[in-house]
Amino acid sequence: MERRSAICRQELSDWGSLLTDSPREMPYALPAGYFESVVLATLQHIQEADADNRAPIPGREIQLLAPRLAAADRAMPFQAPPLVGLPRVTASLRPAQTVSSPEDPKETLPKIRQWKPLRVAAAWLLLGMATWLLRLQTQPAALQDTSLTLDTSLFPLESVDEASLTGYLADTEAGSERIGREASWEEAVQAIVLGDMTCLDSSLAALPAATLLAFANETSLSFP
Amino acid sequence: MVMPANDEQLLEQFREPSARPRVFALLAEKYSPRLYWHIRRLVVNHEDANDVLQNTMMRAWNGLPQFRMDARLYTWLYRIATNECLNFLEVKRKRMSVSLEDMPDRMASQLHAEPGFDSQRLEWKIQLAIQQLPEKQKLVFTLRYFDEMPYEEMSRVLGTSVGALKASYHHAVKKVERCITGQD
Repeated sequence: MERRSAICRQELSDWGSLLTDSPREMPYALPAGYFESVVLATLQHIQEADADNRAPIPGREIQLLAPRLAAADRAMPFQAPPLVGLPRVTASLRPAQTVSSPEDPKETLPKIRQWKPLRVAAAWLLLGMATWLLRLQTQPAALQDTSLTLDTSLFPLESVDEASLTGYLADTEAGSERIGREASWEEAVQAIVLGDMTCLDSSLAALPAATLLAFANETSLSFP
Repeated sequence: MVMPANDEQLLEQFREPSARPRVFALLAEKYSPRLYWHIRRLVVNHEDANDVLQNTMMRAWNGLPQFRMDARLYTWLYRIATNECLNFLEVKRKRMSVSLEDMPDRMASQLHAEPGFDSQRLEWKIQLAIQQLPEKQKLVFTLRYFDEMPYEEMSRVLGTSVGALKASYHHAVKKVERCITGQD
């Protein structure tokens, strides 16, 4: 823990931050004995939730909650007007078009069930739609949809060959222990987009703009 | 009986149904303070923090039987707590009919109402500055600055790459500095 604390402070110190030696204490007030009681309260909460999750028996449940209601008659007091016109409608329906009842699941409201080619075609259509939707969701959001723009007027971006780009990446990953020292891809992107040149490594100036934009999309950095 | 020292032993004991309440109490005792303060820094109010902590522990109780130690236990708990915080704040925002842009000011008002608040003290200034940060930067800052969480662990908690987290933290630190020096 001490080593971790030293690393974090060193990181802030490397940035010349005012927060390097700032206090970490929480200024919030806390009820006395809170942490001693929170464990017990948590276990009680869990036990109550477990009791609620057990399926209550309907008759027993209403008996406990409201005995008078449990004893009341369940008949509907409403009156319904006579069904005018419905016999004509039902008479025009062929038997195959009647709505299936739970007791008779083989009624043919879903005629499609009896026609195999239509079933197969419907299945393929659903599969195609699902694939299309999945592709839509996995496509990264275009950088233009955010408020980010690449300000190429600040400095020229020239293309770099893949070997030197890969080598730079390897150096950056290996140098991650020197926190705050090396300008990484992410910091380069932020610097370019925000116009903040203070943390920009000059060697990154040659990175292709399209690559940086793609990386910004991928990392979904939160920009102010 | 000798108390188990590490999380692996506790989780092994948790598999025994009769031992679960006792083992969970040990885990809660061990991690509640850290989780509470992480939550409190985000939601500000003690009653809200307590609610979120209870929800976090409830989800941990339900999820522990399936937890396979593919990550550290405290990373997993932090992830649950963070998600519970974000959900809580979103529900609170909608209930109060506050826009996303106005939420920082609303949280700052809550801070001002906290017992013992003193705008001249650096600790309170830092808390006020944190509430002005965008959501992701706020999380990164609190986890790194207060909990001193390694970036690799933070990456598992927040689901963001290490490099992006470093960049976010860098910007968050600069913003907090500008806030506490009055330049914002």
